[in-house]
Amino acid sequence: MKRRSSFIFNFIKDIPVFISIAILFVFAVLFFVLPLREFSENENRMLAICPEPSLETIFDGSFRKEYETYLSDQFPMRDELLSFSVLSSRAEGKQRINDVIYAKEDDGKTRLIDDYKTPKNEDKFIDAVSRLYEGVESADITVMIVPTAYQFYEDEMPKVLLSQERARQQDTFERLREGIAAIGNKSVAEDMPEGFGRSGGINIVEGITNSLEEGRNAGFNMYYRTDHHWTMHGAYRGYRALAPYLKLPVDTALEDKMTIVSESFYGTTWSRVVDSSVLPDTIEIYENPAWENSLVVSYEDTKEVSSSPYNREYLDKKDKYSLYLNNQHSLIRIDNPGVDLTRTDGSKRRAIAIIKDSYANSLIPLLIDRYETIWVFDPRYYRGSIVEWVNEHPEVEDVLVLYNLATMDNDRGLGAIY
Amino acid sequence: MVFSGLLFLIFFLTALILCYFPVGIISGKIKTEKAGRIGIGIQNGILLVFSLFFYAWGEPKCVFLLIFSSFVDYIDGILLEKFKERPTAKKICLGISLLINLSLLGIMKYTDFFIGTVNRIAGTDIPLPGIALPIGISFYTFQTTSYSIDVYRGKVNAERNFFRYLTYISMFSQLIAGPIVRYSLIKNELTDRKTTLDNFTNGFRRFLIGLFRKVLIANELGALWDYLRGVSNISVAGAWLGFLIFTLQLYYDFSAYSDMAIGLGLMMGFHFDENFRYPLSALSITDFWRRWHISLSGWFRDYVYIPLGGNRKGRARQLINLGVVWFLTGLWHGAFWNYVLWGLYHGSMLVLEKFIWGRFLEKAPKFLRHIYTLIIVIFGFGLFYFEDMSAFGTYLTYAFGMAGNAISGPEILWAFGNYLPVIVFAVVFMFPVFPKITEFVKNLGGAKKNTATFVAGLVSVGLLILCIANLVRDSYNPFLYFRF
Repeated sequence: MKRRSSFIFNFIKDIPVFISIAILFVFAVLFFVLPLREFSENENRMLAICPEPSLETIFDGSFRKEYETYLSDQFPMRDELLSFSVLSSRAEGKQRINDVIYAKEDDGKTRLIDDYKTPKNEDKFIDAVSRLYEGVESADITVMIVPTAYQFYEDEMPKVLLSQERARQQDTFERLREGIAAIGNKSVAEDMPEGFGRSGGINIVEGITNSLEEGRNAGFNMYYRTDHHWTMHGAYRGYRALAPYLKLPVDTALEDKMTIVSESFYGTTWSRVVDSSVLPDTIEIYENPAWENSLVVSYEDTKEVSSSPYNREYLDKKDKYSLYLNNQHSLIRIDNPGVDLTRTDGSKRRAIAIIKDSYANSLIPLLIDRYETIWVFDPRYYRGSIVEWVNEHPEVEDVLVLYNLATMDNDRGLGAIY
Repeated sequence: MVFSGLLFLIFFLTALILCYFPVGIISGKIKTEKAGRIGIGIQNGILLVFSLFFYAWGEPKCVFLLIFSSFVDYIDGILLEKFKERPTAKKICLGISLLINLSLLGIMKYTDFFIGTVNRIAGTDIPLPGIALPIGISFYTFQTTSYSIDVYRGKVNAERNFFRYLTYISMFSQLIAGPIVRYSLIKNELTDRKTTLDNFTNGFRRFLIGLFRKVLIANELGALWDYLRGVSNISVAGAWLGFLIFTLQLYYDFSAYSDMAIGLGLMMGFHFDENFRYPLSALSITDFWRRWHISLSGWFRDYVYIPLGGNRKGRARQLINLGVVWFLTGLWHGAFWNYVLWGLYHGSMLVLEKFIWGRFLEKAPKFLRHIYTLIIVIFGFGLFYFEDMSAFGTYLTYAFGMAGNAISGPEILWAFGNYLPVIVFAVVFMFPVFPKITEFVKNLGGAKKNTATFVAGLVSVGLLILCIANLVRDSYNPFLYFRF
């Protein structure tokens, strides 16, 4: 009897050990049996594949690193395991998980915000803009730095994470001015662009936060709750802040003309937590019915041509933000002949060149009815000197540099500006 | 390779189980002496191959250094035994072994430190070669030298089989972050050990405990400490919480590694000594050092302090000996002056306890003694953390409220709001609570005991999956102790 009960006890005691070991074996087997995934839809990136070992890569350690990346990238049930980990962290009460901050909106909805990373490329950006200003001969330059959601939703964030972000944007403005002033041979327009106009002046857009704040108070969502981009409404409020600098008219009823194209958007911020308790985002667009007949959007790198700045096929995919201007392209040309070019000061301007990151993709549609031709440069991919290009195209009278503060910090392709 | 990594858990451990244990089971079934010997031979071979792979995965070049170092002491051991009756020859042999091993350690680990110090003192500008520290060199160098010294002293016989000796030195379980296992402790098990279900399951359970403490506690504490480090204008309470969190992190990280090492050893039939006995529950600094990284303090005691004369040559000499030991203990932890200071700081506390306030301390109430010890230890780990002395100075001005900072700040709220379960768990289990719980369960009656064991087992399976999930979440989690 005693022996039997101790047998049962040992059985109960040891079974979990064998279950645990079996779990390890199952993962090992699954890793080899499951088909290789080349692309992670959720993370929107290519996954690592098995590296080829060579004496060189083994000894310099790169094989090991690549193999470990391969293992974690191809790990069985990767997304499910991530969800499980996040779930347990949420249960512990964590408000920041995997560099994602859980913020609460007034109505109790969860807003996911990318954690703010220490600036890396601010100086490079400032340097690039200064050189652009130095190099461009006659076009006017406008620099627009969009705040991050981290910065904008300070009040929704867990109190402790209040940061000096707002101050940092101001600081970037100041340093931009200093950097530009250091060039010295041209004048910097102060605040409002009085002396601005075909003299090769430069302006830094202020008041974006206030304009976004107005939009928010009007009941609109300025940034996606699951993605790091701003919404079409955010872009519209950004446009309103930009308009006085480019002397563009503002259509105050534009927000009523937007249409919802998706209500199931989970963005890249969400992808880092894969948390099904967070509600999906709504995507809206603004379209002018007249575009169908007149508009030509040409993607110069891939030679695709479209009559809309929106590519609806992305709505069936995870990466729905790419709807705006078809994801990434080194150079896009948008022609909309016959639009009214009259500016608020009575002047006329036909063409603009935009140097930008993905934030601009949702703002550019709002400029389509203001310019005959819009050139859109993504300096990460554009190989060539943008300065030279601008100087060779005298019809381009405006150059807009549009970056989000966070992408500006992390992009490495700004060198192509000059 | 690290134990708390996907590669180790999913591939290395499963492959090892698949290769190693069937051999033991089969040779155990045959039950002849010869079968047993052959079985152990094969198991040692498997262990050696796996260990070298384990090390080479992270250090594809320095694995040859490890083999060379082992070979030197293997030859040296045989010579030491051969010259048993010739003291001078013996001394020369030991001298050569120590010279080679310690200069390898010195060159690989301390060149930059040495040149940097010379540069600072002499105002020269000799460029630093920037040698990358081979993982685990501090640990295995101490293992090989302890072997040579023990053979010299006639405490153990020289190992005649090089591969067996290399198996001992390179054994993956303790190669990278200890404990420092002496040859004398496991020499019998190198030739005669049993593969048993009990060893296997007990060892694996111990490994899991270590894994949970590393992944679910130490890594979380590390994230919290990273956050606290980044808080600008941190409050006084925040700064001290930071010290505490770093201390807990270091303890859980390092002792978890020892747990895993001991568990893995046990699975394969090796019995290593405990390396940590709840050091953060110590009642004095003397007590602390009987509980913290025991294999290292034991090493310094037996191979440095006692040979120097220990306490047998008068008070003055004893103080000098202690000074040397604690200077070296500090320096062993890292090639920066803050580690030396940390060692001397602990050394002085020990001396003060020994000669001045130890007697009074013993009479004080337990909780006071505990608080006294914790304050000294926690402050000491502050010194330990900051390799840059001026950064430490800045941190201290915050810790003592001299930077115009507040007494308490929102970061406290954040720390407790986000990490409360982890902090509570870490603080409770720094005391010997776990053995009490197991004891309690053991004393429960039949059915209750079975139920409790069953639930604990289920929880551990869940926690293992959680560990894997967390590792998938952040595949990057280096061990703190790799700096040593």
